[in-house]
Amino acid sequence: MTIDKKTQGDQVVLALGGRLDTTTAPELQGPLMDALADNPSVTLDFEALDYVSSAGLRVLMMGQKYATANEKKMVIKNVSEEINEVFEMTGFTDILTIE
Amino acid sequence: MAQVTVKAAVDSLDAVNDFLSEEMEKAELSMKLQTSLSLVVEEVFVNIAHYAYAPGEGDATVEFAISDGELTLTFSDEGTAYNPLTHEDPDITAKAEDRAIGGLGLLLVKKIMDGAEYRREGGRNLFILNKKL
Repeated sequence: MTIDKKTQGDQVVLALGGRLDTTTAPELQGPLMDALADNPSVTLDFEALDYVSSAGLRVLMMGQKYATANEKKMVIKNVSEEINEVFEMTGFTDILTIE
Repeated sequence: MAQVTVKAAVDSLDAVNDFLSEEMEKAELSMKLQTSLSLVVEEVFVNIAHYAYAPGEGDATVEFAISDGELTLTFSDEGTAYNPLTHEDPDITAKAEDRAIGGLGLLLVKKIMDGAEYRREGGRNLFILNKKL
């Protein structure tokens, strides 16, 4: 998985590429939690992301819980049909902010 | 029918994925189905890797078969007897702050596949998943 971090003013975008799975999900946890701690709003760009497993969902859930508890915003954009299906099957479409 | 036997460890996931990709390509499955099956295999295999032999170690076998328009994935190991189907599904309607972190893997497996069966046979856990093609 690749993580490309871009900052525009107080907007932080983490662009992910490849697979967010058991092997790679731990690599996202630190950068995502740090970005949420340091900024009011963090966008995860899934344009180049092919795959999310439950290990990836776990990290997204941690981020969303932190954002909810600390009045931050975590937005996910450019979600593919396949990944959206995983979000739907697990009820994540109801708790995540997907644009 | 084809199978691969590897050490039941997360490090073996790449080898399992390689095996799976090759079989799925041979069977000319759609990309969409390949992605779904890849997810199923990761979820089940990682559970076996984490829990079947803990704190010891052992092997796990993944079998891929297609017959009469039905695909069957069979996972087997000689670890502690465990029926994954007795695991309660997480509440997926709860608000974010009330959601459990984790426990979603098996739910995905059950939603993607059409059938799931667990058997304990000759000291082995057998977890058999079916999907109509």
